[in-house]
Amino acid sequence: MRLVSDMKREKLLYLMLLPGLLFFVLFKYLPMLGVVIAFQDYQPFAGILHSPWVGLKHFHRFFMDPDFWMLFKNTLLLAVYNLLFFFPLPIILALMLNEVRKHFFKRFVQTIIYIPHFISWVVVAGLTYTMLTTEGGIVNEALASLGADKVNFLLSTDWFRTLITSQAIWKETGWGTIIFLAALAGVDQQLYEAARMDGASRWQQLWSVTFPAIRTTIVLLLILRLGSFLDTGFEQIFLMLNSGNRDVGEVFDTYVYTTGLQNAQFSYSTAVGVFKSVVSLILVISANGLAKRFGEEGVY
Amino acid sequence: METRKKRNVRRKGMAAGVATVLAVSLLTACGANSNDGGEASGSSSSSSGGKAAQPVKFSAMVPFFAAQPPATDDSNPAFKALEDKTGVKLDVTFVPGSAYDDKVNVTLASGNLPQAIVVTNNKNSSVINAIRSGAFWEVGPYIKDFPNLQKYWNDQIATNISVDGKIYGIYRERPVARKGFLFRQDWLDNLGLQQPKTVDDIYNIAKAFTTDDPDKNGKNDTFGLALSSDGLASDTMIDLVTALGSFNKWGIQDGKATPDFMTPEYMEALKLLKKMYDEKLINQDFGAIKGTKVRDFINQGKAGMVTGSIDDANSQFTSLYKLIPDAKIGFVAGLEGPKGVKLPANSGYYGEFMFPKSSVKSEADLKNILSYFDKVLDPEVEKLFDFGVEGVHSKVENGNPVITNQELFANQVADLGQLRIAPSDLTWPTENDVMKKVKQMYKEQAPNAVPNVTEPFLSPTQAERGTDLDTIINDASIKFIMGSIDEAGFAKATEEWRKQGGDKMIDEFTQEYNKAQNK
Repeated sequence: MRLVSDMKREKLLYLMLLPGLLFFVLFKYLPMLGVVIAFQDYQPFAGILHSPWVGLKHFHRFFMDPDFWMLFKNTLLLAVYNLLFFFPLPIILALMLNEVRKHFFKRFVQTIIYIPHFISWVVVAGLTYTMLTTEGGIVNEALASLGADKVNFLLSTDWFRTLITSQAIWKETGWGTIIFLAALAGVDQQLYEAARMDGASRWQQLWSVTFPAIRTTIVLLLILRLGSFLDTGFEQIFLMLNSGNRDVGEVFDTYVYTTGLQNAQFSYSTAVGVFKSVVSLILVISANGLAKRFGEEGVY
Repeated sequence: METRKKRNVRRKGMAAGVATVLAVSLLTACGANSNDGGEASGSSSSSSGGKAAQPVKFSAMVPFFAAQPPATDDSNPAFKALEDKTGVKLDVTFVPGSAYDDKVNVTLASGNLPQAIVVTNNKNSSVINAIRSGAFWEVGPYIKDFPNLQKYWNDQIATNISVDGKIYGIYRERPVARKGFLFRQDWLDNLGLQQPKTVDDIYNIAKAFTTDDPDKNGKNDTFGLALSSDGLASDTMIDLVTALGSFNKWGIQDGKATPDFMTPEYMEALKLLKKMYDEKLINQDFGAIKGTKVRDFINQGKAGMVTGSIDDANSQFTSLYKLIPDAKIGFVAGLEGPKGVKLPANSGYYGEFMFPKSSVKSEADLKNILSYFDKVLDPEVEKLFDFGVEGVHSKVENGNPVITNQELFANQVADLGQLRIAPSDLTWPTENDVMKKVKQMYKEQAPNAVPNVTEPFLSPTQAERGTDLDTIINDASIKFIMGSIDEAGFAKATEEWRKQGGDKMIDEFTQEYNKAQNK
């Protein structure tokens, strides 16, 4: 009832909201109806309306597949590596940059470190190959000149996760600092003044003033990160994947590609995608709930 | 003083807050985008078929294999000449060859199809399902209406592309005896060695290329055989396995369809490659290399041998000649083994042109398009594909055409060849020696080519899971060569292959084979 009277009073505002709503309905919600093909044997030429319904057949096949646990483990491990080794780095880097007093130097470093973000994964994979190949790659040549054995980094199951995580760190850390630097810029300078008056050292200022100020941003980003927890990044992994490392490298995203596009099993790969989305949704909701319990503001 | 400072601080804070929110919303937007990549929407729209006006007009999708596709406007005289000579206006979409099958699958799923589409994965479930649900014109009955097409038609290849006994496309014929070893002839000459004739020769030459300094620069900087992860299955292994006397991928053993990797010859070939890998005669990173990249090793003067199509000798090593003007590429197709000289046969075609009913609306439209494929078989048009436009790409010498601008030809004409259906069987005295020898070898070796016996058959399991199953064996082969699994490990992979659908595939092929035998 309140809503209706509100709408009457603020007619114009609601009218202005309409295009935005329309956008989401048309381009986000309607296409989502496509997930019904996960419960069909979808044939492109029969279309959604005429493809036979098969219930949970594709989910059943997926969970019974011997590859399921391998995929699950690989995806999970890569995601955990990413969270442990990559996620904290932009925060640390932003805090360090924040302590830099020379303005020019700070800007300079900031620009340099986020340039890799704009380099495409194809190029990054090419660079990695050129550096690490056993046939004249600079790393292996260096190892050889030191008298050590060459290491087949690109084909090794032991190095795969390290490679993927390092690539992500190299490419995205600088870009990740932007949000934290923005949050840091918003910290009231008077708080530092007051802290100094009370005799706080630089470390104490960092711990008691700076850190609490950006804690909300960290939690917010963590929740959002969990939302895409299982998105290991298709391009990057696909480009680094080969026969040698497939046992540790095949993840949900690459699996959806091989079954969906190469073998044209649209329904099955959609079922895999739906499973991934459901897991992500659960992660976001529980992370948000947890954040609220600890007195932080959640995403919603 | 104090108040201004305060205001400043507040404004700064607000700006930062806005920036944070903006950045965060940007992030979520990205996240949302990447999420809906997996779902394919099933709306089907169709482009209107060209109403048969004076010049026939149709759209086509074909692969290309150079770095850039050829131009399809007035800037390309060869394309213009093609349109003039066939009387057709073409709207061509060129798609990179390495991603072509994926693009075909996506295009099929989108329902928005060109009027003529080259389908190279014609045994894939997406294509078979589309055919069975009536998405494509059956062209078999029309062939006899077109004299050139009828002359071109080969019943063996037609059987290979047929689905449920019917023909749904025009195959693009390719030589059957085409696979072989390409090597640095000048290195062989430097070392006083003969061209390889047997599997043992391959090993010995690779060894000499690695250890005997074939490029005479006093440095130990060369190796024998350049290998890639996908070329292993598509070329190197079947070259060796057929020479050793076994099947080309599939054969019949004890009345049952049997894949080559269940025969002892396959293990023999694997062990040979493993020995070569251990002795560093093969690039140690071959598992991470795909596609045309393997030829870079030859083009950089690092490796001495590679497997592929023998006609590659004519077109794929131009950068080697730039780097080392004295370099020469030799080639052989077929190696001597216990059953005589053997080599793997190609299927006889590379993809087929298919015509979707959703975009080719009427029988009249179909006939108009088919008349283009009839015309590309005219000697005049064939010559255009081979030599480009006279005065631009080639000139006439004593009545015979000679290519004058190789680079322009490569940029403008070479990949237009994807729009033709027959490889040229016209020979010109002015053709270079390499191509003459290649064409001669096609003919000589054709009787020695071992066909894949399952080529004409359909297996539902292969159509649906073929790619996954192939990956199991290819991965195991690569791991065996690299030494990360042993013979028992390879047997385990074979077991895995059988469990995941291989046994079903064997049954399906055996049944089809028996059906064909009893006819």
